[in-house]
Parts: sequence; C-alpha cells; structure tokens
Amino acid sequence: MLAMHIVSEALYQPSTFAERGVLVPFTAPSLTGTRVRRARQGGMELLVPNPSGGRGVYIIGPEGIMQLCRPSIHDLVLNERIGKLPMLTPGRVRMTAAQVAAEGFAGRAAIGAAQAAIQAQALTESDAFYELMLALLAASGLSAAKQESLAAMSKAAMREQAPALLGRIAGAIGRSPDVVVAVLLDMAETFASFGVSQTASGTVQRCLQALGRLLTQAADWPRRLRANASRIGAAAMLTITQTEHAIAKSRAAMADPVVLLRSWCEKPEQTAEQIGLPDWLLDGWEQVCLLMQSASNESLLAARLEEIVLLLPAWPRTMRERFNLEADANPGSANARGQTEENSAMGGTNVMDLTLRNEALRLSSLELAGAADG
Amino acid sequence: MIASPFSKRPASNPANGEIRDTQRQLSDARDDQIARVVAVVDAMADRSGADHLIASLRPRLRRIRPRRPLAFGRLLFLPLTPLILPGAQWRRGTLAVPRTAFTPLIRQLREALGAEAGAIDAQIAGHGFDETAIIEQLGQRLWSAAARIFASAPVPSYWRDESGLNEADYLALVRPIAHLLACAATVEALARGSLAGALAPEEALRALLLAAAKAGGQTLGMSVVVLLANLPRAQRLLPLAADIAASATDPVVKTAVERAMDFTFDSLDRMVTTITGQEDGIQAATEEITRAVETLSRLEERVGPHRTDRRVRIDDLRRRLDGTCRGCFDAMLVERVLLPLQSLPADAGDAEVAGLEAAARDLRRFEQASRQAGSGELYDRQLRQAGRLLQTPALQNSAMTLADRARLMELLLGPEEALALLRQA
Repeated sequence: MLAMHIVSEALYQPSTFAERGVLVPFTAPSLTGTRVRRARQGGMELLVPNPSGGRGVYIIGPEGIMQLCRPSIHDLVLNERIGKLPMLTPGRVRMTAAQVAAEGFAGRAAIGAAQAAIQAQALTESDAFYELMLALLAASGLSAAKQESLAAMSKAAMREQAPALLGRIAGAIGRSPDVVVAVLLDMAETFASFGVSQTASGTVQRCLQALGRLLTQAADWPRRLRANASRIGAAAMLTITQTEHAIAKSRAAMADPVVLLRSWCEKPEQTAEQIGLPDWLLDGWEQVCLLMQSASNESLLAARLEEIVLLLPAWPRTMRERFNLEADANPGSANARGQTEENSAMGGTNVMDLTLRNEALRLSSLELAGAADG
Repeated sequence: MIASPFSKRPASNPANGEIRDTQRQLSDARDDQIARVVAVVDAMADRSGADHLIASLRPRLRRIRPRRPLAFGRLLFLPLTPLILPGAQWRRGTLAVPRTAFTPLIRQLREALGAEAGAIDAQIAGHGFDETAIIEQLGQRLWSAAARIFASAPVPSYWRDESGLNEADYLALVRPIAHLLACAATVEALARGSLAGALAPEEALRALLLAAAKAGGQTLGMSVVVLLANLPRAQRLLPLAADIAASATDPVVKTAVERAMDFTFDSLDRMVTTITGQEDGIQAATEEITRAVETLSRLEERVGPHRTDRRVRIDDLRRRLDGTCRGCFDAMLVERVLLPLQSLPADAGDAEVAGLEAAARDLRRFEQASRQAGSGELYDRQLRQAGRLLQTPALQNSAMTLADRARLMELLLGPEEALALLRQA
C-alpha cells in the first residue's frame, strides 16, 4: 500500500529550508517541482506538488513514486541514488543528478555536459578546499615564512598532505586529522557554490546573474502578463537581496575558521545549512530562469509564467515572519503545477513532449554548470 | 453525377502543359524538396500561376506541414478550411468552396479595403501560420472586414475569367462565406477552448446555428461542417442543429444538417487515404486520427436506426481508419524502430541513438491516437515484441548502452519495464 500524506496548503508551511526540501530535477512532468527532505522517522520523503494541479503537496516515501505517478527511468534512477545520500543539500542533489545524467539516463545529448559539470564542480571544490586549508593554517599561528611556503604548494600536494598539516588544529578541537579533513571536504563542497573569497564565484553567482536578467526582461513583458510578472519579480528581487546578504554572512564566518570548523564538527547539518544558505535560497530558481528563457514567443511566455508562478520556491516560515510576507504573498504556497495552456494544448501526448522539454532544460542546466565553472 | 465546371476546361494556355509536367516531377519529389518548392511559391508576389503547380500537392502538404508564412489570402480563408476543395472536385449545389474562387475574391476584397489591405499585409509580413496570437489578432480584423464587404458586394467583372464560375455561383458562395467570416472569431475561440479541453457552451453553439439558419440552408449546412470540424467533441452540436433545421419551413434549411453530415462523411473518406506514418507528418496524422474518431462518434450518435446506409458507412470508415492506422504503425515500427535498432553500427553515435528515441516517440504518439480507432491489444502486443528485442544478447553488445536501452524501453513500454531491464542487467 502507498504510504502517502496529502498536506493542504495551510499545513504545508515549512519552518526551515531543510524542511522545505531540495528541488529534484526530475524529468517527468508529473514530478516537476518535487522536493526531497529528510523524514522525521528516518530516511527520505518526497514532496510532490498536488498532481491535480490544486494546492498543497503529497508527501510520499521514495518507494511510492511509481504508485503516485509515471516517472521516467531517469527519475527512478535519480530517486534511488538520492535515497542513498547521507546528507541532503542542493549541491549534493545537483551532483547526484549530474552523475545520473552522465550515465546517459537524461539522454545521450546530456552525457558530455554532465561530465563537464561534474568536472567543473570537482575543480571548484578543490579550489575551495585549498583556500580553506590556507585560512585554517594561517589562523593556527604559523609563521609568515611557513605560510608563504604553504601558499606555494600545489592544490594536489596540499590535499595529499592535509592530514599531516591539520594535525595541530585537529588536536586543538579534539578530533582526528582524518575527521577534520573529511569535515573540511564537506565545507569545501558547501563553499564551492559561491566561493570562499570575494573574487570566487560558482553556481550561486551564475543563478543570481540569471535572476538579474529575468528581472530586466520582466520589464518588457506584455501588459496582460504583468500580474504574474510582478509576482515573480517581487519574489526574485527578495531572493537576490537575501542571497547576496547570505553570501556576505557565510564568507564573514571565515573570519575565524577554527570556530567554524569546530561548529561544523559538532553540528554538521545545521552549520552546513547556515553556511550554504545562499544555495538553499536559490534552490529551484535556476529551473524558473531556464523555463523563462525557453519561452520563444508571447503565448509560450504566458503559459510559462502561469507554470512558474506555481513553481516558485516557498519561503520557510522564519523568512516569512522576518519579511512580513502574507500567506498569499508567499510565492510558492500553491506549489503545484496547474494544467497550463501549454500542457493542455498538447493534448494526449503532453507527457512525452513535456518530458522532452524537461530533458532539454536539464541539458541547459548542465551545460551552464560545465561551461561557467570549468 | 453533376460534372465539375472545371473538369472540361480546355488547356487553352500552352503553359498548362509545362505545369502538368512539373506537377508530375513534383509528385515524385521528397518531402523536403516539396517544402522548398512551396517556400518559393509562398514568397512570390503573384502566385496565381504557381498555385496550379502546388494544387496536386495539397494532400501531401497537409501531412508535411512545412512552416508557411502567413499571407493575406491564406489568413482570409482559414476559417473555411473544412469546406475547401480543389476546383476539379467541386460540384454545384454542394457545401464545398472551390479553391478557384479565392483569387478573384481576394482581389475584390483588396480593392474594397484599399490602404487597409496594405496595412494588414505589413502586419502579416514575417509571421508564420504557427503564431496563434497573430492569427487571432489580425484574423479577427480581416474576417470582420471581409464579412462586411462580401455581405453586399456585387459580382466583380473579372469573376468568371478568374474563377471559371458563373455569376449565380458567386452569390451562392459569397453570401454564406460572408456569414462564416463574420462568425469566424467566435468559432476560433471555441476551437481554442476545445483544444485546451473545454467543451463549447451550448448557448454559444445555439446562437451560431440560429444565426446560420436565418441566413439560409446553404449557410447552415456550411456552418455545421465548419463547427463539426473545429469542435468534434461537442456532443450537442448535431442535435441542436437538427432541432433548428426541423423547426424551419424552408426545405433547404430542413435538409441542411443531413447535407452537412454527408459532406463530412465524404471529407472523412478523403482524409483516411491521406494518413501516413511518415516522419514529418506525425503531428498532422495524430490530430487527424483523433478528429476523425471523434467526428465519427458524433455522426454515429446522430444517425437514426433506419439509416442503415449511414451506419454501414460509419462502420466502413472506422474499419478503414483502423486498417490505415495499423498499416502505418506496422510500417513505422519496422522501418523506423526495429530495422534501425537491429542494424545499429557498433560505432553508432549520439545522433543515431537520439534518432531511434525520436522514432520511438513518434511511434507512441501515433499509437496513442490510433488506438482510439481500435486494435489497442494489437498495438500492445507489437510494442511488447519490440521491447523484447531490447533484451536480446545481440543488442546488449551493440552501441546501445544500458541507459540507452532503458530509455528506449521506457518510450516503448513504460518505466516499469525499463526498470526491470536495469534490474535484470
């Protein structure tokens, strides 16, 4: 029997980003907008937008996906892999999806782009790891000469010698060097999405630029689309300012890297969510931007706006309270895809056509990740 | 049988022989070549001669659907599409509109509109037939202007020469055309709603039919044909039309719905022969199959128990439609999926695999439409057989990766079978 809860819009009010869940780039249209989060009873659960197009979400275990809808084989493989992740973050889900695509499950066209995206992510993580190491070692009271010789080390050498180099710091916080290296790798993964230093950039900055372009384009949208446009624009604007603020705050936490390391060792998930807030804030927005960019004419734009309004990421309660957002003003509160004009117009073949469209969006996303960071 | 006024026209112009030669050559041309020829004709300022050239290609054009630019004449007569017949097939007294009437009617309208025609031309320029917003906006403007003019226009002096028809034909054609154009925007809106899954409101249908009946039997018959073609899911259409016709005293109005049904039967007859499963005609084919199935249902609901001739005709059309669909499906399955799959070279690249996926999608689109005409179990059986091929050891060693095979299996049989293939591996 399918274990499923149907949660009404009034009850689906996540308190935190982790509770909101991470967007999963499924390709089946019935799963568009689906998020995954840790279940209270352990394991994962999927939050699937109401398949009827109404408000509220269906909460199901990963094994219930086949019974609720008709996922693609890509979705089934991705669902299985996500179920094995030890920790859920937007970055991890993104990389897991890239790996599934690299194996060919999102189509042959996406394989190369996915491989490039994985490679680019590995490079930015390596950069972030290197910068974190230098910052930690500098904070550990090394002499200027020693710091200089460390700075001349290659990234590979730094990674290889990390356990030895971090021995003193590990001792100071009561952890083994191997544990500290593992934690540092997690930190690097989190920082990689926006960079440790002011000059670095990653997925987050790319998405911010796309959101900026979206706002510029919104000014030119036809009058009849203004209502949806202003709703999307307001949500995008708040997301941009909050993300920029969050990047600054996360980078500021590196003022005392040892304290940050200790905190990460003690409360890994909580600290990762705090530092990775920029990525959590933007989770789901890339899909919105790509959907917009793929609207080639006005009628398609109208259909896409209708779809996007229902896909806008919901603000967690803490954010809503902080910014005095009304329940109705919460962009993602509907959190479901209506039977949009575009879907309906395709008649009986819309599932196949929309899956194809979603695969094209996946390809665009992977190409951006591979090109921008690589 | 009444002969077409065009059937005995002598080849007075020596160019006619050349046109026939070129037509013969074009009949053997590939779809992409035809599309290029049509693009050249569409770009001509005066296409009156070239129209003859592509007349014989129209059934293929319906299937190929090359992206065609919007043109004044094409936009003007768009609402009449279900009624249009080539001149040679047109018979006096039927509900059809002969294509040969278009050139003088367009000329007459342009003359009457003056600068407004040029303004519409300028706004149409660069737009295609796939731009529904432009069609909606400019169509409404052109159709209402044309309706106003054709409602009272006299027979133009060049009518006989350019159309090959007489003055009485002009009046018999142009007044109902004026009425249909006046209602075109409403019908277009109902058709858009129908495509989006909405049922046409009964009151709107009744208003359209009453207005048509008031304009005369010919207009009512033509309106029913147009409405049935655009709203094949509207179950109340034919009963409403029949009620209105039955309450009329004019014998032409009384028989209008029966004539519209006969006309629709003939259209379906012609349509069944043009369905193919060729690569660039899938969308048109699936739409036509769906429309034909729904239209047959509407006709069947309306055929009384005593009309065995019509029941026989419906059964025959269904059988032929089903047979055509099965034949096309078989050919598509073998030629576009199974043979390419079996002969996939070991060094096949992304394009070949993507091509196979595209073929499988087309096959499923065609199958989803075709099974409405019957033979659902047969399609299931054949798709299962195709799925088994993906599990054969020979294919496992081909250029297809496990993910490729799982994706193709998903397209042919669904995600459960694709997952089973992965588990098996």
